[in-house]
Amino acid sequence: MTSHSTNTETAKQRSLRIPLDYVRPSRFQIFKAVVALIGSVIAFAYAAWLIAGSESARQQLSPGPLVAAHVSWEQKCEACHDNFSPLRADADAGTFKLLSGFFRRRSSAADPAVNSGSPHSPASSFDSKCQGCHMPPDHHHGEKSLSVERCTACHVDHDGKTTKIAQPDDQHCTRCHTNLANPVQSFSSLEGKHGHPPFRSLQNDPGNIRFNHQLHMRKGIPAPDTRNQGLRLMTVADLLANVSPAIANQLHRPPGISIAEKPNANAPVELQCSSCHQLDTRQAVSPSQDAEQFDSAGAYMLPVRYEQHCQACHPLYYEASHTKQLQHGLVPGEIRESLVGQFWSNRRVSPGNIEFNRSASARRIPGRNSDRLSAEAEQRNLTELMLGAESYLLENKVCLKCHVYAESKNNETTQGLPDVLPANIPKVWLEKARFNHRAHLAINSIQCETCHASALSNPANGQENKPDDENVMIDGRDKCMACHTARTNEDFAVQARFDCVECHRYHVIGAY
Amino acid sequence: MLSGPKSFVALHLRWCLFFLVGTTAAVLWYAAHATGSVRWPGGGSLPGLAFGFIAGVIIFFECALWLRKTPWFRTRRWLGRAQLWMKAHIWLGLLTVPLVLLHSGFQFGGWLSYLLAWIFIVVIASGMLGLAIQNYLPRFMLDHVTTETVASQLDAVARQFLVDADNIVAMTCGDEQSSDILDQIPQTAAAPIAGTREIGARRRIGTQVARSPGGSVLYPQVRQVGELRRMFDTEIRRYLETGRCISGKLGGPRRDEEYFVALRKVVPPDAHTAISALQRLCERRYQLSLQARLQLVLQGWLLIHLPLSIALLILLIVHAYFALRFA
Repeated sequence: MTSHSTNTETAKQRSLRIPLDYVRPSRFQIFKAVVALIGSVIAFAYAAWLIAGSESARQQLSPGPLVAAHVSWEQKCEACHDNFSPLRADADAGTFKLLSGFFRRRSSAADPAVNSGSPHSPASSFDSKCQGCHMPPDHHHGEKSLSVERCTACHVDHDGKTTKIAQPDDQHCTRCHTNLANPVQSFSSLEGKHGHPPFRSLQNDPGNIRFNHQLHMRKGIPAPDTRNQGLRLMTVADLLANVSPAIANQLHRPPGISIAEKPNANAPVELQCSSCHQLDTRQAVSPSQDAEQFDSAGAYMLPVRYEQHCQACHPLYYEASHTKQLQHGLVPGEIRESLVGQFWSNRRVSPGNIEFNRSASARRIPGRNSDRLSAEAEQRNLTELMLGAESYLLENKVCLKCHVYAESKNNETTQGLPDVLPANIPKVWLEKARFNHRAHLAINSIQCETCHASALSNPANGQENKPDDENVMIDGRDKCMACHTARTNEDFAVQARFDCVECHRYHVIGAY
Repeated sequence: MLSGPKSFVALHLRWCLFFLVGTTAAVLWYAAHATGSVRWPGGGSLPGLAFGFIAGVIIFFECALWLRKTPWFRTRRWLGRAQLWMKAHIWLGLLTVPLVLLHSGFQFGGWLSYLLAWIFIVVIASGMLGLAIQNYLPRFMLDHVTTETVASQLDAVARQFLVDADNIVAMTCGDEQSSDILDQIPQTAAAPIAGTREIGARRRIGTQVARSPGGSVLYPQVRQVGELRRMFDTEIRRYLETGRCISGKLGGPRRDEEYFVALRKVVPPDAHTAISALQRLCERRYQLSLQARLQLVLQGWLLIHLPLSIALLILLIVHAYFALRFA
């Protein structure tokens, strides 16, 4: 690369060109010092501005924008932060305790966690600022105190205004639930060891009501024909005849008939899902257990009521003329009293004066003993009526059509009419999760039969016709995962969230 | 740190192992602490605090290198050798990279920590660039700048070349300016030997000599050297003065050779000695220019590294205070 001509100047000669007092800063060194000085001044100025603590300076310290709900404290760090009292769940409490003591500032006089230096102190002691506004209930009575995390363990702020701070990552849940008796790793992993387990509350039907959905959903429900001793299709007129006018107005009308129109009295009865199941549109007014479960209007269904949904087809006649019905929901003792009441009301005698009249009728009046006989006859009549009613109820299985008799040790005083087991149909079937019918029905591709197909199984189509009291008419986990999954689904046009908090809550009212 | 590959390994092997062991230990501890947690442990966690503290101490030590080089501490033997300090500066500085990364929890954070992180990155990058330059460029200069001189004296030496060239041309052309030029040369108490001209700097301090040993050269006056004067005034002088040739005919051994070969053809042979001297001066001037450019590269990265290091130190203190206060 280089070609040098003959250089006659020696190194010694070259060195003599350099004066001995050459040690002086060059221009470059001076420039370097000036640049360093400028950098220092700028850095000092920035630091001074930060320490001065103006609102805009505080913005420099924030690791990110606050969630929209907290934006009013964007400029006020002290609203949530105490000096040298860490909010992050992974902060080392012992070290900060030393720091707070060094700087002679106490994060909180009543902060036993910081003062004790224990990293495993109850989480609530770190969360006093959060609990100033938020007071959620505990998670579970069986949760270990050492496992209770701080609020910030799951709810991370400074992550943007649109951050869903109330929707923590699944790992916060699976961190503990992976190690439980029924381990759960993620809802997205159906198969495998740590997929979401089947819904426990749907394993067994706790109800004690005999019911056949398939039969009731059939078009044209057969009913006994009292005239011809056979079966005939029930008509709308039959329904209206068995219920009060108020109930009649609430009865579902056959398809195609609007509210304003009167139903065709001769039309066969065809029930729909909504004939018996209506959404509960009430709004919760107080934080109660029911309110927690019914916290959203339309989330769950109203309980099925006999008077509204069953009486039209299943009147509680207690005699062959089918003119008199029992009130529903009575225990055997109350049935007797009801029968007595109806007897005497028909006789236009107050039930409370039976003894009085008897005693009055027992007085001997010369030539007039018929009153005493009348009272005894009436008592016999009453007894016969009651026995007849009980016999009719037992023989015709009026109660037993739907109910199951209880094996009670202490039978009611009424002979031969045992008590029945309580219906015990849960108001909410998914005990551990939240569900909203309205939100699901709002999706066009989801109908009742989407998740309750077993209620509409048709033996004619080869679908098994199982008795309802042995099966839960809710499809369960697999059906949920058709939409709530990470996988694309060709059957449904939607793909819903599948994170834990979509259905579950950590802070649960009345924790189970 | 001028060293070949083998000597580099010998010098830095232990420090390199220390760096690797330290990094591995930090990563393992951090990984153990992060196991089972949803988020990466942040700066407030136990490993985060430890790494932040260690990195901060190292950064303070890194800045102390400047103090070590000041006249107050430069000759203090009890501080250890400068080479040891430089090796510690390099490897501890590299160690701060994984420590800071783990301390941050792989997040930049707010504006202050964001700025601090980027300053840190630039400081590290400039430092590594400087390390590479400082190891490669001196060897390059040794091969390509054979007449290297003291960097701070480049301008002064170039001016001496100019004076020498003026003197040579004046003597060759027989100009009266030569006496004025001679006046520019610092005079000593000893009178110059008659019939000679002094070339080269005179020693002003220490043992005074009348002239540089062997530095007196006689350039006889030559006739018909107008072309020499013209070319000197238009190109050579400017080149010696500024180090740049507008026409591009000078600057580099090959160009100089071609230029002066052409010049020799247009001047009498008696002037070829002077022309050769001018050529040597031009080559030396090129060497000075090359050295200046290389010196700028060798030291220029400090214009970034040094001020940002100071800013890093200041902002580090601010960050530590506010991060601990509002953890």
